[in-house]
Amino acid sequence: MKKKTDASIDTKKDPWYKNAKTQKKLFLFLALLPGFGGYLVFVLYPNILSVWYSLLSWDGLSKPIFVGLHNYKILFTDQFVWRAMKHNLIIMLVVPPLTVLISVVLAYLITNKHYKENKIHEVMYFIPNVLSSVVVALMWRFIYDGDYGLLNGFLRLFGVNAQTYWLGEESTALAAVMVPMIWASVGFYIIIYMNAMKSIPASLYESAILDGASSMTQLFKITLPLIWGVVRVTLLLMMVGSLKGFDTILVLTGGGPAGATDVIGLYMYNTAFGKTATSQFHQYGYASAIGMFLFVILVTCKGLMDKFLPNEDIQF
Amino acid sequence: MKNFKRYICLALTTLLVFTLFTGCKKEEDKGKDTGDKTKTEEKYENGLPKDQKVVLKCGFFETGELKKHMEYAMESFTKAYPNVTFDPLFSPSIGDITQPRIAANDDNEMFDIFSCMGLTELELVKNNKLESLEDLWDKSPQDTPDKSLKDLAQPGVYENAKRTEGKTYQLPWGTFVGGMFFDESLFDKNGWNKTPKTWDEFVKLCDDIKKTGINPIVYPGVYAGYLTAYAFNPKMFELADINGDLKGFTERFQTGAKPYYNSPESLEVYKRMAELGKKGYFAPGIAALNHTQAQMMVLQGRAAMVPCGDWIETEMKDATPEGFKWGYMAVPVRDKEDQNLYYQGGQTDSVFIWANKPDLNKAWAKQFLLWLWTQDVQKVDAEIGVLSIRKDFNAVDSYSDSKRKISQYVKDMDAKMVDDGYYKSWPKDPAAKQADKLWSENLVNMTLGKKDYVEVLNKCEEYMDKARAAEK
Repeated sequence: MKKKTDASIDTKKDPWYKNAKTQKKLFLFLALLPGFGGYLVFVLYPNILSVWYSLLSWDGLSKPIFVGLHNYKILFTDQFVWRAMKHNLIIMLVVPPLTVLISVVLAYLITNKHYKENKIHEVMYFIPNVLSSVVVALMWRFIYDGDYGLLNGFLRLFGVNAQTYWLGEESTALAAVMVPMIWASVGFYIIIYMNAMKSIPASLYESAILDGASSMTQLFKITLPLIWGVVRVTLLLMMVGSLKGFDTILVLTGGGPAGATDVIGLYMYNTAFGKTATSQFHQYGYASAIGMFLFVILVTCKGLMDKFLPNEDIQF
Repeated sequence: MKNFKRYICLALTTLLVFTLFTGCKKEEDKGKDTGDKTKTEEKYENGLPKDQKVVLKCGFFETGELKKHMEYAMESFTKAYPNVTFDPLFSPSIGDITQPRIAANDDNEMFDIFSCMGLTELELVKNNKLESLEDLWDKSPQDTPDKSLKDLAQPGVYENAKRTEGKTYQLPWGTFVGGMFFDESLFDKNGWNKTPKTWDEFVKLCDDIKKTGINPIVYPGVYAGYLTAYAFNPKMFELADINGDLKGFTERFQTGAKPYYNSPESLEVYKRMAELGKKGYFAPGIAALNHTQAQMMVLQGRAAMVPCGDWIETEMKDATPEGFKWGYMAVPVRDKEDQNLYYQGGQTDSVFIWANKPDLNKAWAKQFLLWLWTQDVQKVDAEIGVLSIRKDFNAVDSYSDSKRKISQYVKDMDAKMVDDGYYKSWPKDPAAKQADKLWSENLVNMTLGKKDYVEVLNKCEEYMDKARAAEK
């Protein structure tokens, strides 16, 4: 059999599509296309378009009119925007910390205290998380009802003559809407923190016990530092959610009473789509400007969080 | 073998591309005369051809009952005119579906007939998107060829029909009524006045109710507009009529012209609402109530009256206790019985016809709108709770109990209908939205007398001034 020599090697090149590198790149491209394509079409493109819309006066029907920065000028002098931001700030300072606190404590108890009924606790705490936000809001609406609500009924058991319309009073409405937000989220974060805690080696706790560390010491000196990375990410998610979200408030109070629970996301939504007698005329331009403002706020908050809550992972 | 596979792939790709193109057909070809031109066309009595198939795309507002009515109308129309079929889309948010189609500017994708809900007629007319329906008032429904719609319409419907630049673009096929609804049995049991004729009588009624420990009036504070839209906005028209400025007020109201929020009529109406609030005639906790909760309070006997539309009976039928009978009244602000009394009423889901469609499509669409006025279709309307648009409606027994009472009330009181939900145009500047927001957030406190209505309404008018200035 004739051996192939260098001189007799076939010098004809393979077609480009047979090239291994090309095929690898093509495969990667096709694998990423659906996800990335969806992101481009349904997220990036509309957001870029929103920047353009924020420079227009447009009700969605008539011809858009370019107004430049007019919408932004109104935004910065709009008392409703700043009031909504104030409410968002309050929610951001209350809901995420309380959610983390409750979730960490409960996750710690379930992970480290080996109660027989731990599994039942896990399921119970997670149930609110599988309910939609509308269902949660409607449930709490009934709990808060002034005449037949569970809360007032519970208070009457202790002799308190409660007739408070928790969602109808400006002094109580904001606090009232925060409770279901915390209640609905805790279960999800318990599961996340539990999984993070389970990855901590038991030997660390054993050593700590031998050294005489109490449960609280173990929690603050071992558990929290070692799951800090996870807690930080969840804090970021909750912070973004508290700035953007408004579904629970929309169902519970619609932003009332008298704007006491109005938040920036809801104001933006009502500006674009809100319907009252005279609000059948939508304002997509101004709503887009509010959206751009919210985007800047979110990016700023992320930056502040990176600065003041650095991601210091402790390795064990 | 490799080449064989390649040729197969190429052939399949070509076939796929070919079938994609052959699947498309121009919409303009539909409705055009594609028949043999040498053959004489057979025509209906309305002069339209029998042998040309037409498919009308429709976008209708949906509630459970309204859908039933439209489906019946379309089915019966196709039975009468087999060459015409429908491609309907129903949605409770039909405006949110229609708006993007309009914005997309694709006449092929657009509906032939569509609900007016959530759309601004003036802008559509300015952009020549709507077919004028003014000629239909002189045409007859198919079952009454000797009378025109103008002759058949309920009093005030033709004269007060929504018009832009003098022409009708949305034809009504039914009416609805808003006002104060109450438990007639409760009123009869307590001897309360079911038809107060003046403001003083109404205040006395509230006082009589309050003395029994029942809340005279409840309304959903979460939805600011219920109290004003159904009960008190028509009172502004009543006052304008008494002041001799009904036409001017109506024009300002429908366009947001100055003064809107702080007009003399508006200030007077809010003064009266605050008067009721300060006397404790509104139920406590109103700010937290949605419409279902407010209406339930009346069903449970914890409140006497609730402002709503005439669909309340159907809406609450599953929760209505035995022996409960719905009663109706319009709140009177007049001081004397010889002054006009106004009640809130409007057109039930009027429809537009898209102008940029083939002439045959538009002609059939107009025929369908006339069909909605026939006695047969009006009877189905009555069964679902819509008041007939025809004054010669021959199936009054189809009305529910409350509808019969509303008809009787309107007749006995010689009340005039006003549609306070119709706006010809509105300033587009964000300041107009801010005015609306300030008003809606403070409405409950203004009616309870906790917030100075003059201060709030003046502030709203300032925002409107900014909006009007920005439009110039």
